[in-house]
Amino acid sequence: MRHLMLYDTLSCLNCFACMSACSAENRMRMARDEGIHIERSSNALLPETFYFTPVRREVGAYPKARVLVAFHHCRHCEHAPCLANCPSGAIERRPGGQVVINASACIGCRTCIDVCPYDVPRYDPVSNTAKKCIGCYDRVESGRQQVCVSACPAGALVSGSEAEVIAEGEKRLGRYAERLGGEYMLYGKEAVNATVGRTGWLTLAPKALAEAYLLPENPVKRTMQARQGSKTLGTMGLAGIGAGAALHSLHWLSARKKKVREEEHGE
Amino acid sequence: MDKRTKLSRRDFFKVSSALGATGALLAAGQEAAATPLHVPDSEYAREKGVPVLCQMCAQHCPATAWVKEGKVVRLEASRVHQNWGTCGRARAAVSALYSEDRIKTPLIRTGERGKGEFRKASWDEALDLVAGKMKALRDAGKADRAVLFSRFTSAAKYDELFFNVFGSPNIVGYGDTCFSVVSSSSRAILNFGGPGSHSSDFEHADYGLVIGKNLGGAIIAHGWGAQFGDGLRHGLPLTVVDPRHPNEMAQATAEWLPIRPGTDYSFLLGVIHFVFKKGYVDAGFLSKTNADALIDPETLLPLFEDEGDSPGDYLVFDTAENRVRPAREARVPAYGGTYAWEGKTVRPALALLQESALANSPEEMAAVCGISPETMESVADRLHAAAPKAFVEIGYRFTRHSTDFRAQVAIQMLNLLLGLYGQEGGIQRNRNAGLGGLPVDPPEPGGTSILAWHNTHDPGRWAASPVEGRSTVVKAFLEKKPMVPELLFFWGQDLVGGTAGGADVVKMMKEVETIVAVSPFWQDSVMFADVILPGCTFLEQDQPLYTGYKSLIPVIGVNRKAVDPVLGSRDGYRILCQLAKRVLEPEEYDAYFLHLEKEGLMPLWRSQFKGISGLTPDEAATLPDTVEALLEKGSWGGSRTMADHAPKSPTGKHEVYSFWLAGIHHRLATEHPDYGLRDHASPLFPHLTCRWYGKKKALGTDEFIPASGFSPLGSFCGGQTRNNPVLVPLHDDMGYANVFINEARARKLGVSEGDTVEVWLEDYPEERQRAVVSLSRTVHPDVLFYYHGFGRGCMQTPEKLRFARHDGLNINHFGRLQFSPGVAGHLPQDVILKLRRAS
Repeated sequence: MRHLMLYDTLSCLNCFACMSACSAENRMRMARDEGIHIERSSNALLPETFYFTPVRREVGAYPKARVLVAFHHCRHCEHAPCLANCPSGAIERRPGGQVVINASACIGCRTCIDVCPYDVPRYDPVSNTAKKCIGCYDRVESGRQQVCVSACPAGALVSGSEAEVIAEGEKRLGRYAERLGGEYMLYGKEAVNATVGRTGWLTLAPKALAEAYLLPENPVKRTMQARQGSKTLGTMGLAGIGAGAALHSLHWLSARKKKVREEEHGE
Repeated sequence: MDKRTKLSRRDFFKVSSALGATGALLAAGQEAAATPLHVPDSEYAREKGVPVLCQMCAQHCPATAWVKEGKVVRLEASRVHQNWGTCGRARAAVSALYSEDRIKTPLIRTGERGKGEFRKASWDEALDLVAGKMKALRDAGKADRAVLFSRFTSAAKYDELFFNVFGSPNIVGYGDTCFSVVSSSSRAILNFGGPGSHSSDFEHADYGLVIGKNLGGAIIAHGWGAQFGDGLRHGLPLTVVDPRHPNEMAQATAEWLPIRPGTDYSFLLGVIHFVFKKGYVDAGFLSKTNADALIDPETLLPLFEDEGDSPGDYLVFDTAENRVRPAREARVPAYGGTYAWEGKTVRPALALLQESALANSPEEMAAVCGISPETMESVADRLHAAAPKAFVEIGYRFTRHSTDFRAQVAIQMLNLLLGLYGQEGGIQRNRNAGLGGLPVDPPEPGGTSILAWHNTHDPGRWAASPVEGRSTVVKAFLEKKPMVPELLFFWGQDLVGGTAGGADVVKMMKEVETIVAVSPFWQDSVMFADVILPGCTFLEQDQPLYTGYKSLIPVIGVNRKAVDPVLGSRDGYRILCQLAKRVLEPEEYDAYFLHLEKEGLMPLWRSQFKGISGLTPDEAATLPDTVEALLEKGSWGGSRTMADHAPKSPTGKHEVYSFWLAGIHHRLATEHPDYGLRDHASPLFPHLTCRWYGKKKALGTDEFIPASGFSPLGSFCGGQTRNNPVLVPLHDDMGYANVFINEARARKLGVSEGDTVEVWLEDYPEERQRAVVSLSRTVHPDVLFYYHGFGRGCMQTPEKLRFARHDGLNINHFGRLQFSPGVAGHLPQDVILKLRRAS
């Protein structure tokens, strides 16, 4: 059954208990899954353990300006480009819809990073894997809430069945419109665009501030479009696997190699 | 490289290149993964949950520490009632517990004070040294020269008992650098309460005005944070008056009114002007107040029937009988008019309040605070329209400017005039359970109290607390009055990091005879200690039951030891017993501390449990029968029932006209005619401005007024948060260690985003601090905004903290002591800063 999360920007206190809990839970997972002692993980910054982060931005001009803090995180897309493009089949969709990178199968190629229209996965050079939010599938599949949801003291993060979460989101949306005026959106409830489809993590925000809250109307990534083109050609049949596709593929590969060289040089 | 690495990126491209066009097919991907994902055990570490009260800040939010193989691996909020919650700091407590930067052994200073040079010592050597110093003081009849600065992470309850038995009354709180204005203003208007005594009913309110505080900033998750969340989910409309736009309070929807720092009182007077002018005073609620009291306009004192009558017998003019009568007898008291009484012309308090309020012209107030009269009027309109489902938030206010007491008094008066106390959607009393005390009666300590002496001898301390006044210890040291403190015992407080006074504080810390610190973490004051004893965190020791929550629902909090003290630290109660045994006479030790040594906290818990009070019968029925059962079960929570808001004053009324202040105001005039700040004690609405504004109304190009916020991920200056690797990446994302100035101002100064700037006080140019600047469109042009508890300031503490920032502002390290009128609170921000780009 589809399991959704909802972040309600309007009731958030910006306490970041969710993000701290996420990192702390991932450190606990390091002890559980990899035998890395909690004392060791407690004494390192480990930025890759933060599956979502705050992005502070200002909109408008003084004195009418505002500070807004967007949450940058995986949206567990219905048509997840990372999953569709992972060459090693390391990305899987769980029964609840969570899109999860399987670290034991990940080869560190960073394709998911290149194709994600929300710029989410992070490369961890120590393990040579890509990391991103796993939707706490381990918790959810045994009946627990995602750790961020369970940490929120303000009820700004909620999760549950598709019907429950959408009903709660719409109830709030209606209340905000009535009490505060303005128009609000439940980003991801309907297909955002053809590329990502609906999202497993919805966001409630004022419509006028969608961009500031990192809720693009048409999330796309050029590298992904190129790949889609390549794939389309590839699936046109045997005849389609011809010179054009090969050339396209080679061109794409050489561009990537150049990018890799640049990145490695940069490192 | 990690063993999990199967294939490098480059190898992969080589392989896929060799495969040629099949790479395109491989890339097509499927919903089903090639390698099935292992689903790990989400019930990991759920076998042993220990009830604790998070003390990453001071709030004791109920939580559960999950222990696996002798290690705490996870901290979660305990869902004790509907407003449960812990914040991000709590989740990071495991990293504080196991921090390698904790103080691991007793240390004895080898270098200059403040430089952080110490040698390791054995527990015996360190304890003997401390005990020797204390015994010497006691033997010389100078026990009162030892001062205890205690707080959470100490051996709560018994540390104070130890000082009582030892013979020092000088146990000082930090309220003067924090919440004293709230206590004093509550005393003035409500005759009870203080920080955390009230909550706005966010969930049911239709409008709220928040000024001088940030409901989300220093989030107290359990109670206030969750209650505020209830309000936000219900679409609470807010107006936020703040020198910077606070992202923590309805960031996308609240109306933000940028205000010149330190001018809140002027804005509030503007709003109050319109409340009177437009007839918004709640006539129905007035009967619960003393607004009918007849006042002598010459003295501002209320009239009483006869000398020696109880305050309940104040006089009013009864229009039913057309004569002056005691309030208790009057049927229709007058709120306006002028009356003759025993040769005097007297007036009802409300008439004087109205006259005083209307005398403050909104234009004049607007010129000071920078918010237009139209906006003040609109705020008054919105409060009136929503009343009684409205509030002017009183929750918590720090002492920062010399007019903060007046601002807080004005807020309380405004709420009374609008009739918002004790109302659904208005402001309600928090409910706290009472507890029994220590199992032994503490003796009278004897000796001279530094605070009592200064409060008695200084006419400017007319609203000062007898216990909250740590900066007065510095004053006592500098002035040698009533005596020179000789031993400073820091057990949780950070005087250097948290109290304004800069060079004055440092002078004492460098010159005082002895400094002892018990602390798990490095902080500024610990750096100055002669002896450091490594105490432990709340996760490593049992603690007393706790009920002091800022919540509408009563809670009895339980904190059990989750793990043994780590890294060579010791349980605070064990440290205390070892010290008490060395310092006190054997019979004193046996009488007061032997039970603690033998039985731990059980005797205290029993005594506390026995004295539980303040619960409704329904709540009491759900309380475990025995203290053992409570300790086993963990923190207990009650239910939400509205507390009564009956006046607690001697008049039996809410004192919208403060008789207490009127008495002080009159006494100052007669006994101290030269005292220049008497208007700060007025029961009326005199317009007063803060010190910096009195000094300079327009700032120069390079001049700023500091304004600070508490970050939800910081906690004072302690290593538990500023050095916590679970929090530091988030600090950096949010720029918590930076200083924020207005973009347009920065342009004029040639300062760009990310520049390092030098900051100093106008009056002390030789003392400088460096910080990274963030340019902002959401701070008032006069303001330099920073978050408290992150900056290095002038101290070397970050050298002991590998993740803490080595730059950033700590305003408390600047300047000299200065005290606010009446309250004697510190004034860290009533100063003018200068700023320039660092070369």
